[in-house]
Amino acid sequence: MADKNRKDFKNNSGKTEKEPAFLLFVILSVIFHVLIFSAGFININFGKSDFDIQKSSLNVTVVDSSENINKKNKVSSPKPSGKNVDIEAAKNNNNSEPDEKKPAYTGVKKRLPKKEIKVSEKPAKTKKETKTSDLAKDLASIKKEVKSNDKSSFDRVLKDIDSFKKDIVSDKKGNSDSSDNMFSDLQKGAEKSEKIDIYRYKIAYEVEKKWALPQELINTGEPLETLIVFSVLPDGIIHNIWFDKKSGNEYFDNSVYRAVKKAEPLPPHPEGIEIKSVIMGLRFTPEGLR
Amino acid sequence: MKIKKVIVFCLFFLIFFSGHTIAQDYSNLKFIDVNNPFINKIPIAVPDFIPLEKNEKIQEILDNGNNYLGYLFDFTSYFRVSDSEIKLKDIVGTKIDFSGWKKNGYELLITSGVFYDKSTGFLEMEIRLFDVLNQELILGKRYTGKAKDYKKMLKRFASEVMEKLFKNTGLFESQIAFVSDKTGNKELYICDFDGTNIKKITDNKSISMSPSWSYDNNYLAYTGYKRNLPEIYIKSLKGRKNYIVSKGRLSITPAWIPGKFSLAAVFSIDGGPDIYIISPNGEILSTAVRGYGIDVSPAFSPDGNKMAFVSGRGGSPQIYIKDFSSNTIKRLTFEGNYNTSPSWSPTGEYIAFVGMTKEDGINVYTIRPDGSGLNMLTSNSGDNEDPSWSPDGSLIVFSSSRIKGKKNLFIMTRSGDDQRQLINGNMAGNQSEPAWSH
Repeated sequence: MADKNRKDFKNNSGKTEKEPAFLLFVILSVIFHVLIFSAGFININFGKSDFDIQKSSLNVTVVDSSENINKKNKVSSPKPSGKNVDIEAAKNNNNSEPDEKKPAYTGVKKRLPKKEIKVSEKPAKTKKETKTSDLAKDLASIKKEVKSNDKSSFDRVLKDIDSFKKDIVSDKKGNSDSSDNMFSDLQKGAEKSEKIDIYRYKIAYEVEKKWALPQELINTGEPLETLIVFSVLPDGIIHNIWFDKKSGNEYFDNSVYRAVKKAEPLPPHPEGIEIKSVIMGLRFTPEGLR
Repeated sequence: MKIKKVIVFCLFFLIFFSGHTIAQDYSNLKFIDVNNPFINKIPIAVPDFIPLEKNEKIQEILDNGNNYLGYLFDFTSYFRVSDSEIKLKDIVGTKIDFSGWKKNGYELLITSGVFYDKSTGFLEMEIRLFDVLNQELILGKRYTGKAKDYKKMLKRFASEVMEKLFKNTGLFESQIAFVSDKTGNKELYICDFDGTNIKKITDNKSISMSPSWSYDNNYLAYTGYKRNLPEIYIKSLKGRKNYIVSKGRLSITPAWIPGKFSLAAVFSIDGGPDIYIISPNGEILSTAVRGYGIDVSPAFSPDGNKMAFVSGRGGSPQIYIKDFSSNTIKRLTFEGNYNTSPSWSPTGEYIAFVGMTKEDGINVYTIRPDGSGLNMLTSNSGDNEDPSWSPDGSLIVFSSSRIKGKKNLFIMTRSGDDQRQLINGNMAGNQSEPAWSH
């Protein structure tokens, strides 16, 4: 095809017109490349994205696919935020005192009843309340749901959410020298990202609730890890599901897939995010069973 | 030509731009950790059988065996069988509305149809396993046999489900040997996996103990005192030749070697007791463990390359592991002063054993063969002893004196959950030393 085109150019003019045309092409290409790369750096808003995975302004306490399993335990504990949801109880749980009755065998895992974790609420004191009212609603709804469920998962979700809430505050402080307009834009972007991130955690929690995995089927010494990706449409319908990484254990992978399928329909998108779909990346491991 | 150039340029631009977008999507996608499954059993629906023809015989089977399949799955530590208000109208996938089952949280659905041929007296059962979420048939079988064998058919189907889903045959067709003093003497008995169908298999009118199944489940080796000294008895369960092996003043605790028609046993030949590898006719093939102090209770890893055993060489009874490939012995247990009765799981992951402490009494523990992951499975419930694994490695049978001090058989999951009595409390005497078949 390319040869034919070159032949046409030559035939039309009687001279070789390949060079100027090629130069024009290269110049245009370079201009567009520069524009696109610049857009990446200065974060031009191209309008609504099909996906919501533009770089979040929040430093979410989640683990990249390349991170080691143990890294998640090294996430710093959240500081008191003064927000209307308190996770003191969750922190207390992490530092809970050992049981009074020591097992005779040191280091032996004994079968003891699980302690209940209380999640208390503080009255709102700062202006931040209005900005995080949606967050408060979401957290309250999750709290309701987990009353009779496993508290440790909820604690983890709370910790993660609080951690990236803390990070957004520090992000905003870091940008205090910018102009008001720029700050306003950033704030809007941050709020949107915050909503999306909270929604993501809500979805992860919904899927975890549906995840059925008998402990007896898993060799707990086996380092299983499955990464699954799916997109959620505004009405909570799952559009696509695919494995980004399989664990190698067929039953484990199937259980992960079934959990996602069972969770459908998921909660609809929160108001104000206005995107066509939210891409979810979930990393499943049997850590909680160990 | 200009149009062509524009098209080429646009294509180039689109390819570059879309590539850039995709790269950005994946590089920024953050994975949220999900690591604590809320449901520890697979929800399975087992609705009532559908009679494919109405007659008295079918009604009798429906009445007696309708829930048996659900009972089988419920017995495992894998499934949660619960009642559902949804009535099944047909057993064929194309005529099933899966949405209701999905809405109720089920992942699997079993449908069964029963047909009884009066003229031949044969019963036909058609059973299907469906994936509710994908609305797919996973397994479909038709069984034909005598009407009284309907439980066998259901057991077979349940085993096939386990094979299909988890690549193991489950435990539905396994048996458990145990010791009972019901008659006043310690004799050996065999029951089905669920504690039913108990049969007495020895009548030595003395002491019979420490049963061990051969790997084809055709022989049971045990220690017997019929001739007033402890000897190894190898009893065929298929009516073939029986053996008695006696060496020195003590011959005890036989354990079959995986995949071989030979076993390890303890003999006091010169000093000892020590552990030897023998053939059923009594020929000593090799010395497995020999050293200072007492060496007893051999238990093999599934591949037969390693053997756990109890030794007093350290000053107290502790569990050690002999590695036959490197010919080394390593101590496994260090906690407590009394650890005995090792039993290697069929998956090779764990060794169950009995530990005794002043604080907690006698309890069942599990530990990994490398010495990590010590886990106490029983507590505050009498003396708990003699652990033995189900063939799929999901359950452990053990004896416990938790009810009125009388020893009886119990089962639990490998993590110690769902502890329940195996044999009906009406069986007289004490039941102990269970050994689960392969």
